[in-house]
Amino acid sequence: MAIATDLHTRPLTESLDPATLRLIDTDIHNDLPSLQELRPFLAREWHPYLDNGGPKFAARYYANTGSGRMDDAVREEDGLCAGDPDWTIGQLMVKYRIDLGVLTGGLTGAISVDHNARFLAALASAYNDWTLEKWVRPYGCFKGSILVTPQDAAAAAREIHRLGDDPGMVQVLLASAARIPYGNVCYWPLYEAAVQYDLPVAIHVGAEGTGIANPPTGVGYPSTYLEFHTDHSQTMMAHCVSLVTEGVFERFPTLKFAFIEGGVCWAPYVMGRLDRLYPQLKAETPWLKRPPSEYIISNCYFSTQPIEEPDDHKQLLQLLAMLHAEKTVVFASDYPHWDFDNPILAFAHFPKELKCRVFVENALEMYGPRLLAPSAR
Amino acid sequence: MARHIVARVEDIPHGGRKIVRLEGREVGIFNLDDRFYALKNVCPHQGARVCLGRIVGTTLPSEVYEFKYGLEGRILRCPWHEWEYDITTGRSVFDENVRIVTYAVEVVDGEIAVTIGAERPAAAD
Repeated sequence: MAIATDLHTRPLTESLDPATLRLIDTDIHNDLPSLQELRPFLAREWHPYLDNGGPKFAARYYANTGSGRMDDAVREEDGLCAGDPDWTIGQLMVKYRIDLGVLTGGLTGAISVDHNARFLAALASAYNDWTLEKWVRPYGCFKGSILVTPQDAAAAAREIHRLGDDPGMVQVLLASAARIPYGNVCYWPLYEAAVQYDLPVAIHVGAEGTGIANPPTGVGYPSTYLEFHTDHSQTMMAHCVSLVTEGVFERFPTLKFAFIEGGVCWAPYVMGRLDRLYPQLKAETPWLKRPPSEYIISNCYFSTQPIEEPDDHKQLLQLLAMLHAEKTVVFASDYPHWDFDNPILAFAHFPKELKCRVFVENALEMYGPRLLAPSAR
Repeated sequence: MARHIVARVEDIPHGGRKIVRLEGREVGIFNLDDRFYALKNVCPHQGARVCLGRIVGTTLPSEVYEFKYGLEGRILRCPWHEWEYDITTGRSVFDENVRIVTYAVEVVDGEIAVTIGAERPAAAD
């Protein structure tokens, strides 16, 4: 079935028919060409903070020896890379036949780890409004993420209440870089608000060790980007174990939690390890009513990119089976970043049924009906 | 097999490249010190148009904490995942079995010719 590009470039007038969908991308990094674009969305008292360079304390300091982006995604005339919705539709959505994409932007890390929580809360609101106005409401193919700062869970909850009914927003988004593991009770107001609107909460890698966040690994700061990037799975593992054992999914049984850009193969290890220790140590966590892995299968989602690529594809399929990927794994491209996964080639060895689950059906279950609904109210 | 004239030698300067379309596929023609090489514009990893990548050098195999930068101008880095390929062989620097498809090139009377369907002999001077 050919994809109709007018569904991409115009607002939807009615909900999409899920039977027509072939691919949903859960991680598209639309770019903010300039911080100053947020000025009209930001209260006057914060303008000097923009003029001073914005959340610079969170500036990324681990960089690889390449450009960090897909060099062929840069528009020659203005140097923008995913900075223009129509360009992105042509470069990504049409080229790879992606029906719907969830925008994860470029400020998630900064809004989680810069040093001034009041400014970050204001910046998050401005960014969310900018996303809705420039990228979501004019198009039929993009949905937004409600960025919030985890440093002030009450402010995060207020932002979720402000936008939680907006059909253009399909999840709450935080960085996996953090000061405290995400199961901690300090974050619960944020989760309470998210479940009220049936919004999944997603965490995304990349800002580890920057700003006020803890070092990128449990043993401190690695030397190279190779180390840094490989070690992203460590923060994902720590948050996942924390969420399960602190009882977040008992306290909020309908909360859906997504791990974005951490890869997937660490999760079967976490499940096995937790289940092995649970009978011996469950006295510490009497609120856990089920083997820990069951909470992961029932409440957690994992995005594919960067998908592990063993020489023997069967090994990956085995790990995915251990993770119950038919329920828990969703596709992500990470466009336009350098470790983009091409949906046509990177998943060629997936069985058809699993591909349907990963490409479409799991994302529909994770985001719910608002993913298919028109974004304009 | 079909032989295609793709450019004149003066069309592709030292360190330069030209992308051409031959029999339905894109091919990158590279000039390294007046030797010409033809690589299919498809990265064997995930299909990026690899010939649009940066032409650079690389850190050669070395002792621990020693750096030897070399092969300047001979390494093509994929625009997506930064995989590094030797333009003269099409082979990646990390696994010689990972390689870009290459084509035979010859220069006759100042014209660069690429043959599709032929195993590539030594590059043309």
